Amino acid sequence: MIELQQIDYHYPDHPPLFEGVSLAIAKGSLFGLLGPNGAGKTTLISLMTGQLQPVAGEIEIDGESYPAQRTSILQKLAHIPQEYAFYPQLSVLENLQFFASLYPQPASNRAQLIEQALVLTGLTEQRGKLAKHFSGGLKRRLNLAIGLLNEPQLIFLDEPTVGIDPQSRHFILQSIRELNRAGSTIVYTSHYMEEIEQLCDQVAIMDHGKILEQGPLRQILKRDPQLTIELAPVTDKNQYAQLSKSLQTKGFSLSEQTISGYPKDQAEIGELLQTLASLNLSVVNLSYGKHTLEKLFFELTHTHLRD
Amino acid sequence: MLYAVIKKELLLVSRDIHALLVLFLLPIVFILIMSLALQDRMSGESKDRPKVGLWMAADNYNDGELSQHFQQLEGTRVEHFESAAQLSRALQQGEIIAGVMLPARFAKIIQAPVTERSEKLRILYAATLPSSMRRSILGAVRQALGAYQVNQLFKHDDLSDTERQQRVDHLLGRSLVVTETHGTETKSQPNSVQQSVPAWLIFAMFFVVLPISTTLLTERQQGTLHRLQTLPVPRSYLLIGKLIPYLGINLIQALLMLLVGIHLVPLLTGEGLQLTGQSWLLLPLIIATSLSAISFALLIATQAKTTEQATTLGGISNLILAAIGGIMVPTFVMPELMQQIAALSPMNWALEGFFSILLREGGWAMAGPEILKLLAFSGCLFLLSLHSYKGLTEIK
Repeated sequence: MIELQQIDYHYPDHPPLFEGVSLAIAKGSLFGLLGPNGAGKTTLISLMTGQLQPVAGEIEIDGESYPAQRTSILQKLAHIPQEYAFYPQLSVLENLQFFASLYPQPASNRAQLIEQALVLTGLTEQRGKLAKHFSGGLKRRLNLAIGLLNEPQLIFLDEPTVGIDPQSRHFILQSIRELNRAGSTIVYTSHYMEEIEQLCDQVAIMDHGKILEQGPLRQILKRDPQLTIELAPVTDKNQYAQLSKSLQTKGFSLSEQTISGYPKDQAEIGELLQTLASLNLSVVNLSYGKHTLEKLFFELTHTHLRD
Repeated sequence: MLYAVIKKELLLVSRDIHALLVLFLLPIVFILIMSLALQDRMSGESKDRPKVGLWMAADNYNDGELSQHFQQLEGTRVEHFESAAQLSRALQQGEIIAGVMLPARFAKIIQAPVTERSEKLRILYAATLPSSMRRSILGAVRQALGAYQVNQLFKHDDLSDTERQQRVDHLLGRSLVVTETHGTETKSQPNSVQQSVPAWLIFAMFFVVLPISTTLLTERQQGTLHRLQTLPVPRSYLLIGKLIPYLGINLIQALLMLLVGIHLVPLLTGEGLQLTGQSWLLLPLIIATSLSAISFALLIATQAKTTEQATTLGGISNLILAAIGGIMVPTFVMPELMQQIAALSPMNWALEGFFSILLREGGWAMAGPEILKLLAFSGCLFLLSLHSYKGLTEIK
């Protein structure tokens, strides 16, 4: 449904942010877009929602592309930004009526869509209240409701659960699942890895303007299972040096008491354990198998702090 | 679609109490205060002309004509003092702006040959009195002296009062001078109401910069603009949607201020605003002024990065345009250079348009060029604002 081909982009007077970026998002998927601050997620979303024009490359959404079919594309999508993008001085209903009126649709259909959005986001009872008096959770729900007023086939959600209580977060995640089940394709960005793991079926991890990994979440997490062995404290320096030498030849790394690496097969794990036994080293903990998303994220983007 | 944008803007401004105070209450207060404050300074029929002290040595009172002439110094109110010391004290304390002192036997001194005039009439000015006022008081004193002296020439002739007055007028050249005023009004310069109502109305109209920039910058800061830009609505609609409601607000302001000038100000000053037969021209003039004010506000709102920046920049620009444009100080009291600078301010174009319609009865021939200048100004600024608006991004 969304296809980015060889996209180049740079902000005026800035070095290139994207060079030859390609990305595919399947129709009906719940797609997680991950990356540290400054990775280029927001710019990528701005390109996909037609707010920015790429310097080179093509963006196709459902067979249509910017800028020629911009209006048609925008009628199908909704962008729900991280900020509370509505008017606090207006009531819930006034906000919904205003944003709904900006789409070309008959008034009767508009009223029905407003009702549906109110029900889906649980704001029916708050319809007459001014948004400025709302808690963070209610504001997030209103932000989401506004994004549903054109029955979007494609929804971009930018960190929709930041700064809200667990109940509101649960409610919003449930609503997103419902929207996806109803047929909407969802592009979801968040810094909460467990949220993406629970919610998304497809992911892309990006950093410094590059897509580092993309594909079905389950496959990515299963790929190249990592082995981690935690040892009991090694007091004998000779013993430690011998272990280090032996691990180097096998392609594993040793950091203090932790051995890590990617064994070719289970037989290699058996050999490693035999080596440890021969050196009289005790194993405290061993893990092998699929990644967690967080672990994979740090492996790809590293742990140093970002601006 | 456009209706929705207009409705939203109207709802937002109607819930912004500060904006409503600035747009409606502030100009009413200004009109009332300034009409009262400038009432005497700008009226030719002043009840409270500047006070000038008069002290005459006692013997001068014996000559009724002398005291009569000096009691009526033109353009002033004359207050008598019993001693020169009292007059000096009053001058020092700012109770009078000047003092005229006639020495003893002044009537005889006038008749005496120039070489024998031992003492002279003295005029004392307050230190802060501007030179124009000094010249006008000196002129009034000379006029009183001249009239008295000419009267003395016919004093002993056997003439009726009317005949004598005719001769005096002839000698003083009064019968040779005729004064005329352009337009049907009796004055060529505005009175305090005619100056204050249009001036503060124009000033208030330009203050739409506050709500417009606050709304636009809040949209940018809260990500609402970001969202609006992903909706299938042309950006020009969003900007026109801001222009139309404020045009309505400016028209309501204008109607309200004119009503204040016509009905409320006379209750306080006795003099109200009068609309002439050409008053319909006020409508295109007010619309052109409003479009200029809104376009100017949109340009500031699209250039500023913060609400504080916009309100400071907008407020200061308005004050400067008002100061140089004849809003705060009437242009006719400005020196020539400042009058030329005033002609650069759109507020001055609007004010001159009002004067052309209300005072000069110049009709379209006089008000038209001002209206066209305002429309050209607003057109250029709106296009610049639209260009900037299209490139606007979110502010984080």
